[in-house]
This record gives sequence, structure tokens and C-alpha cells, in this order.
Amino acid sequence: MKCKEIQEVLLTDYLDGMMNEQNRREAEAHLSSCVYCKEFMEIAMESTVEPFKNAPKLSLSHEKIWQRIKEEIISEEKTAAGAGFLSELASSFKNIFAVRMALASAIVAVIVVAAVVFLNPVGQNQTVKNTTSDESIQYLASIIDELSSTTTEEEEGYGTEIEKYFL
Amino acid sequence: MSEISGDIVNKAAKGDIKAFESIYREYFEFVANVVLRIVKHTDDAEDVAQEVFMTIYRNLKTFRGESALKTWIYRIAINTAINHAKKLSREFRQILEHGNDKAVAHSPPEDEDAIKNQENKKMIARLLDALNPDQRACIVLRNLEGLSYQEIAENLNIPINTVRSRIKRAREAMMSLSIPRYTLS
Ligand SMILES: [Zn+2]
Repeated sequence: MKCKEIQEVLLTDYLDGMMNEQNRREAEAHLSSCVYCKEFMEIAMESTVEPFKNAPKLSLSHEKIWQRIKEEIISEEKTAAGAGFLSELASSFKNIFAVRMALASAIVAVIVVAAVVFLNPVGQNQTVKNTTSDESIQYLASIIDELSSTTTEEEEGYGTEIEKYFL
Repeated sequence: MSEISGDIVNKAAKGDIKAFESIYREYFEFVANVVLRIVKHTDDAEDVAQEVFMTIYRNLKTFRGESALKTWIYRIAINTAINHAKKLSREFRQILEHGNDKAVAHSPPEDEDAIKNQENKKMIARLLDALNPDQRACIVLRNLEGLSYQEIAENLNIPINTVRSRIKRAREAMMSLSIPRYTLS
């Protein structure tokens, strides 16, 4: 390994003790034979790791912030008492919409199947017919996949709705 | 940190303020430390800490326990602090540069230990000042909170290699601050 590559590793995984045994030995072998990297390592240690050791914890006023939070919660609950009904109404509309989406996709699927079955050109032999319906089934499957993936997409992530603020 | 029971989480999610207070007590020190390191001003940090706990309170009912409560709270704290710091550094870059001793010069030094503490705090503030908010969050979590790269990646919801490269750049910046010849390559 070249010095530059070694230094990248030294600055990250080596300093943080996150290397496996073999890589660590390799880096140490280089360190014991390269004056330049050895000096780099010492400076890195001194200026990026040592200052943080035994760092005093910083803190804020525990009680003061709790009082502010309590006040905010109480005032929020007062306004929410009126708005709560509206938001429940909104979420039940959302549920109805989801059910309708599922219904609509089922109906689309039935119609496509019917079309495939009834609109097949008459007089074609059995093999051609089979291929067509196989393709249609694959196509159908892909549509259904797509539909179900769009409905489950928002379910993925941190496991909460909070992620929408951060993405 | 001992874990808060699911029962307490459920109660707090339903608006039980006593239950929420025990969550607050459990995680306040972590939130305060991280927020103050990332945001730097005491006044701002108080607002951000309040915002963090309000976000937790409002969203507890959507917390489905897929990740640990601790991880979930860490994420909210770190992300809220980073967002705030980014907004600040865009809007008030100059104010930030002149006012950043406020969080550090918290209590007047009394004895030798206290003076040492103050110097150490100033040194850390100076190092963290040389970093952008993303880098700062990684260094705070790694060097002050002792999280592994994997844990940082989970908390920030970024790939582990992004953690690695942010730490690398952050340390390069800190090195060039101490020893100017190690300037960014
Ligand atoms: Zn070398």
C-alpha cells in the first residue's frame, strides 16, 4: 500500500480501532518502517483524538426546558381538542381512499383477464393462445406488483412518520 | 442508559405527561450534549432541545418499535440539531463566528480543574468549528458519544462509507487547523 492510502485508513478505521487483525498488522508494519506516516499518525492522534478524551459533558437547564415543554404540550392540547375531530375525519377518509384503490386495481385486473380471454383472435392454434395468455399473465403480475409497491412504499423507513421531515 | 419500558412509551403516546417526563429524564443528557455540541449557542440549543422533545411527543404514537427507542430519539435529536445548524450557518454565518463562546463559557472558572475544563471545552469548540454540520455530527457521535461507524450510519440514516468519508474529511480539517502544513489535499 502507498502512503496516501495508508493515511486514509490511519485517519479513520485505525484511529477508531475498527480494523480487523490482519489489516491492522499490515498498517502497523508500514508505520514501523515509514517515518513520514509515523509522524502523520502522531499528529492525527494529537490533534483529532486526544482533545476529545475526557471531554466534560455539556448540559442545559433540565428543569427550565421541561417547564417550556410542559407549557407547549398543554397549549397544544387546548387547540387540539377542537382540531382532533377534524384530523380523525381526515384519516378515515384516507382509509376509505386506500380501500377504493385496492378495489379499483382488482377491477382492472378482472377486466384485463376478461379481455385476454374473450378478445383472443379466433382460429389461432392452441400454442399461440397459450403464449399470449402467459405473456398477459406476466404483464398482469407486473402491474399488480407495481400497484402494491406504490401502496407499501410509504410504509418503509424508520418505522415512523417522522422521517418525512428529514428526507 | 437503561431502556424505557414499552408500557411507558404507550402511556406517553396516549398523552400521559408523567410517562413522557420519564422519557425526557432518561434522554435529556444525551440530547442536551449532542444538541449543544452541534448547535453551539446555549439559547439556540435550548430551543432545539425543546423542539426535539416536542417532535418525540407528537410522534410517539407513530413509533412502531422497529428500531430501539434510543436510536429513534438519537436520530430526531441529531437531525434536528444538524438542520438547525445548517440553517444558522446559512443565515447567520458571521454571528455564529463571533458568538460561539457563549455555550462554552457557561460557568466561571474557580480552581485549576475548572480552568483546565474551560480550556478543554474551548479547544473542542474550536475543532468542531472547523467542520460543517454533517462532519460535526459524525465527530460528536464518534469522539464524544463513542458510537461505532455502524451505529452512526444507523443514526444518521446514511451509508457507512459516507460516515467514513465524513470522519476522514473532518479529521483532515482538524489536522490542518493544528498543523497548517497538513492542509486538505
Ligand atoms: Zn508511509
